[in-house]
Amino acid sequence: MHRFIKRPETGALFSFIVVVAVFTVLSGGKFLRVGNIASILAMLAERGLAVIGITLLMISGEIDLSISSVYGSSALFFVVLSEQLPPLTAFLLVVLFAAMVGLLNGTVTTKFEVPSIIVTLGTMFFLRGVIYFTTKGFTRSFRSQDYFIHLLSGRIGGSDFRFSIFWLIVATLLFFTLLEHHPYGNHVLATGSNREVARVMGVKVDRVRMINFLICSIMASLGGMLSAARFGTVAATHGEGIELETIASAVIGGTLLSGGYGSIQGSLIGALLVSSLRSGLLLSGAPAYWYIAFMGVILVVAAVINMGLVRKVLVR
Amino acid sequence: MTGRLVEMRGIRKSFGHVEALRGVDFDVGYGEIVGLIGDNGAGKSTLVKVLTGVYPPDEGEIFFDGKRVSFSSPADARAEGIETVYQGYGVAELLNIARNFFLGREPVKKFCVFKLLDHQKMFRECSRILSEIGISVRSPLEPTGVLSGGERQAINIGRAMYFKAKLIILDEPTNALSVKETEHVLQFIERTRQTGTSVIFITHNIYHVCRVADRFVLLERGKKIGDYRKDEVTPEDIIRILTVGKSEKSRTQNEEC
Repeated sequence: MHRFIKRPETGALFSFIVVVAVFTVLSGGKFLRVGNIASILAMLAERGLAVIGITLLMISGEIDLSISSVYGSSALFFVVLSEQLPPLTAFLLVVLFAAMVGLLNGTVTTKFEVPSIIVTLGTMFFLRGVIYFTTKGFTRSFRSQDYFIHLLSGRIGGSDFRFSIFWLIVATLLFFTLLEHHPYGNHVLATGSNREVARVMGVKVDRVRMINFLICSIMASLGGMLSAARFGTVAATHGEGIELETIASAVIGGTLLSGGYGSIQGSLIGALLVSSLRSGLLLSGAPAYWYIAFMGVILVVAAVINMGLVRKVLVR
Repeated sequence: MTGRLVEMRGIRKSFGHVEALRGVDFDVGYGEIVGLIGDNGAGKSTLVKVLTGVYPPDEGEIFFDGKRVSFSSPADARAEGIETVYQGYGVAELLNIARNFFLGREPVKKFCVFKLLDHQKMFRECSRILSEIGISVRSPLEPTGVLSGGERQAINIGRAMYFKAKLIILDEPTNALSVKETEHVLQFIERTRQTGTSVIFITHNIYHVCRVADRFVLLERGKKIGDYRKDEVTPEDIIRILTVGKSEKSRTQNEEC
């Protein structure tokens, strides 16, 4: 029991149960209908991939604000490139593009020791500018429905559920194993907890940070492409604001902004909480964007609780 | 060879106009505990950093275990069996003790095609070492931050011994420790004798180093001003030499340290 309380995701799990209970009552049971659960999961899958990436990066002590623009530009480029190329080729090119953005963020951060919040803020603005330039402010849509696009985020059979949640599960298992059960995960935790100690112990801390920037960017890109596959249409504003929403999800899920502590599963519970909040408020008849205000409140409360847990961990 | 683990000959190192080391000879025998003593800025840390590859020397030769060496990084030095326990920052506080202990040298087990952490081995080995060190109440799954300063030092020294270091360098290991914790760490250093590990103990607390060292090397402004076996000097002599100067070394035979 003691060990359970000390896990990063405990606070978020508890809050999630409360949120589900409250909205089930407020919405008169509509919250738990299959259709609603499926729509929460569809949104979770897209944001969740980005959340996994940012969690890994945050644990190593860095941040990436450009994920919203990577998410948006990847969705856009995926749609645009699919007009000329087979969607699979377009998909791979977009992953390559995201990898290059991640490497750029990582290189500038580690070589010039500029805080990553500044570097990635710059990348965020730059890429968003490119999106506006490319679309001239208009929306772009897929011309055809390819089988590959269906496999990304189409409906499974005739059900309300989409393939995207399957990809989230795969990514979760992969990155959970990497963080908790692979030596690399130990290096990530150590780099975020105390970079100098990690370096002295032989951890290649710059390489760790670089790889995490790369992973973070690619995961945001994959999330963006899943969302493009679901909507079929991408606007110039696609993904705006999700950088802060994903960071909030990770913090709600017990990941420390300062690094060294957190978990993939915790952050995903945080993301699930945010998605549930949005859908729950809507079903309860509240104006759609109230969720943003609520998210702010939950974020601060979660951060306070998390700090308390960490202090308990350190001080006993 | 002369049977010395470490031999440093005529080491010079300058930083700009500051001559940090001005031709220092320094050696450590097999299984020997050497106290490296001097005031702040005497060049103790620089000397050790030249040895472990943090700084290349401007002049001089270094032999380790019979071979001429010039390490280009502390990682190089570690690969040859030189472990440094730094003061101040010894641990990643949020990592659990077992993960911290094996950081950078995690034991792995094959799982399909992946090499994953051998959690059982990490837990087992770390539990054993914790109880050997005398921190038996803690679980290796506790975050390292719960340990006291002395316990952290003890674990760092324990790790160096676990990974079969030939030479352990302790940089001010008893700084900022309580009396009780200092005692604990000193006892622990004495246990390196059983394994035959050599130790360089850097400090300016003469009474701490007297307890454990076999030999004392005194540095002052980048020069070696003394090199004594334990039975040749008293702590009072050392203090006198460091404060007044070499010529004043008296032969008063008070009790030895």
